[in-house]
Amino acid sequence: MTPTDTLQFSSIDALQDAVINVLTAPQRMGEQLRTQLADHYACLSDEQIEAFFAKGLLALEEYEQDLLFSPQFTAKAEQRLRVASPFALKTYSKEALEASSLAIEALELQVTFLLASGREVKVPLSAVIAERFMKSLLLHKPLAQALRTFIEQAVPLAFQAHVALALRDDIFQFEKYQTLFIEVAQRLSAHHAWTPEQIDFLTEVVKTYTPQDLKDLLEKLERLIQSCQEDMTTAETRSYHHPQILGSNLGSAHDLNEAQAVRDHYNQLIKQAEALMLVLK
Amino acid sequence: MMNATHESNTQQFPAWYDGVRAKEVLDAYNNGGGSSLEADAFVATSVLPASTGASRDFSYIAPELPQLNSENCVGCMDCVTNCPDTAILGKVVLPNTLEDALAGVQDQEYKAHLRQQFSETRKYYTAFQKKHEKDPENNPEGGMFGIFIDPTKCKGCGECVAVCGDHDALKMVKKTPDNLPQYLSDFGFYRSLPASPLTHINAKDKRDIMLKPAAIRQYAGGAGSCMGCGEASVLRQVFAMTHEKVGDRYGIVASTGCNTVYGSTYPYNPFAAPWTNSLFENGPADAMGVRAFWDQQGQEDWVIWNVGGDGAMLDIGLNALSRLLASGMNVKVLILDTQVYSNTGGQQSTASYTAQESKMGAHGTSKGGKSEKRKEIAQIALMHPNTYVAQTIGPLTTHFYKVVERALAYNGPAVISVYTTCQPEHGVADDMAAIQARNAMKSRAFPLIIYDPEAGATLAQRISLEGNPAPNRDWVIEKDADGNDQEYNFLSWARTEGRFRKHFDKDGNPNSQTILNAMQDRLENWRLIQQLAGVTNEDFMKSLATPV
Repeated sequence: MTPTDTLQFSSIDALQDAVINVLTAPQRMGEQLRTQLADHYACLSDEQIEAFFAKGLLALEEYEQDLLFSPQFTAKAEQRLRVASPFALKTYSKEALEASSLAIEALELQVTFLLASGREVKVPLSAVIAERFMKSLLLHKPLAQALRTFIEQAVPLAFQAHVALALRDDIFQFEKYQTLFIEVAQRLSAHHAWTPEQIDFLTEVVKTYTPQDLKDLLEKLERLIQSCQEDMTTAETRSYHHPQILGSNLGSAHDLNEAQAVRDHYNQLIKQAEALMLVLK
Repeated sequence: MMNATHESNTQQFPAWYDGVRAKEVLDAYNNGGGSSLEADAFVATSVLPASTGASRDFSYIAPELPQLNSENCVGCMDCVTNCPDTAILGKVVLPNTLEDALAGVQDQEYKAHLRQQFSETRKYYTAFQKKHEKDPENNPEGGMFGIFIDPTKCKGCGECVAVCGDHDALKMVKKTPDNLPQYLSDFGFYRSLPASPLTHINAKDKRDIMLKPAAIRQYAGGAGSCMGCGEASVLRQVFAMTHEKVGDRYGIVASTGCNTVYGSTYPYNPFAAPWTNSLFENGPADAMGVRAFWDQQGQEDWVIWNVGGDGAMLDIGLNALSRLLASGMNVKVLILDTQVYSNTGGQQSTASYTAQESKMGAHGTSKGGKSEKRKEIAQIALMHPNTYVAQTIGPLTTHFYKVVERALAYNGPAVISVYTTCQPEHGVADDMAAIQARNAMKSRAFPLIIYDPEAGATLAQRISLEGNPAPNRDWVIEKDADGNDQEYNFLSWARTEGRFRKHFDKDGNPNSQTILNAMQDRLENWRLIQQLAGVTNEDFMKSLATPV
């Protein structure tokens, strides 16, 4: 199957099948779900979890199920890319996703958790779980027609799905940000500078700093670089700084590596900003 | 059609102080002119008007700010609950009210951005809307739920992102001069909205208390605590619940410690309730005096909290605390246990763990950190007559709020000892207050305990270990990714904290007898608690049955 074929493959049934495949595959119970079971439902042992899933779950209202299971069934970035890519140019209405979630529930499938003791425990694959996962793919967020056309015509095939998913934020419903993205993307093409990281960085910058045009984008990138540099300087003189200066006050080789990883994060931001500026100037 | 009901969103100056002069003082400090203030009678009293922390602007501090992805938000309120600075707040708004408010926003792009800060969660929207559609006369319509950041309070610790976790509804973004103004505007919009409808505040979910303006106001933020301080989020929760139960009828006596320093940096006061600072050694005595006076005045239903750290309550003020507990007086004691004198630079306290590195517990060639065993205030307190005692952690909200509610209802002395992460002294990152508290509990470093004198006739009936994982085992056993058993013990947790780092080699293996002693101490303490609670420890019984 070529990427083009993949992008044209847009039936809700196919999406539904893809979601079912992910949700019915056995998975380790995440730490956050375990914590919620312990904190809110006094399920501290695997036996208690099994008993709760067998009986207690039925008594929960839908919103309580959502609070409980949502951390486990929110698509991670990698998962979203893998599952949603074949449908990246398609938009599904919220109502369609909700109907699809109900259809999944009607199939009476099960989710299999692997517990800490190594045991397996199953819960019904409910519409609450299915809908949470489906909506976290963000395929119900519209992809503006201008962007869709641009992607199909100008974005290298290998990046089309990634770009189409990255542009699902509401801000890209505004024409000026569509125009800005297209202008930047054209320059990336001219410089053969397409990378998934660059696309993610660009869309995040647009969302976070709302540059009005290319000139404004350049100025805001400069201020972003300056801000990163200032904070790295401050971090050098403080034993602890902020969450991403993880472990910088600990001192062991392992911890210093973590601190270095944090500085790498800022350096990476600077590098990405500089690379983008190079293309724009 | 049933209408949603709202709590008043109005803040008022208390009548007893000079509000005009207070504002002059605040303005002077906010503009860097505090030192040039005239030394008049108002300034000379050093009185900190209630809630003045709300006016403090920390927007220059945070290197990054949280950004909401409302699509993923479920309204769990964990971010709001665990924030130490009252910097991230939630709000439920009825759709028509939201649209009315948005109608006043001219810029279409900004209007869309504001709308994007809200989502139709199952908890606040769908659950209500379904009932409303069936019976509109008796059920209010669903509400939109939004999360907003106050950039004048946020220090950028990232605790909200850490507790949001796999919901992936929050992430940190770099703060620059370009996005800070929008955060300020967004929070202005939040403040312009009416309070969350009382009808939508979930009585079953205690985290929803933080949707009430009055609860939020009990600790207004603007305190000088460190980024991510584990104490501050505990204070917020305790006083929110106290206000929930008794309204404004409570006061606070604080024993010297971190809480008195960051809580009283003139002229910034995060507390809404009457608050006084006593010394390390006599906070409980001070609280007894307030109690006696209130009782004399016929204010028996008022609650007095005595707040102190482990330095005040386990060391310097233990005699006074013991006297208070023996008195039977109706005083509530909150111990913020950081296991070190955090405020004065990290000196060892009797709550410090064996092997913990601290000032006066230094790690060197002849001495490997603290060699003494940790003092256990919960066990000491519960041996006082008719004293309610709980040992808990803030992020375990169900357990935490349960013991606070019970302590408030208990007609006698009550002690709640809370593990509170101290980032600089524990050597952990700024967003790890909740994670490290949970792991301390899981590792038996800080077990959960409830002792309720009214729960039965025997110790076993009165003591509950609910909330501790594997309560009948020595340690927690889990399967790793390869299906192998992994023991989560004291060492598992200790190796994640800088204060124990010298006891581990570069691969994380213990390399000192002191840290092994620490582990043995924690095991013996846990077994003692199990025995008091009447819990049979399978591992201990097996070890007794095994011939030496």
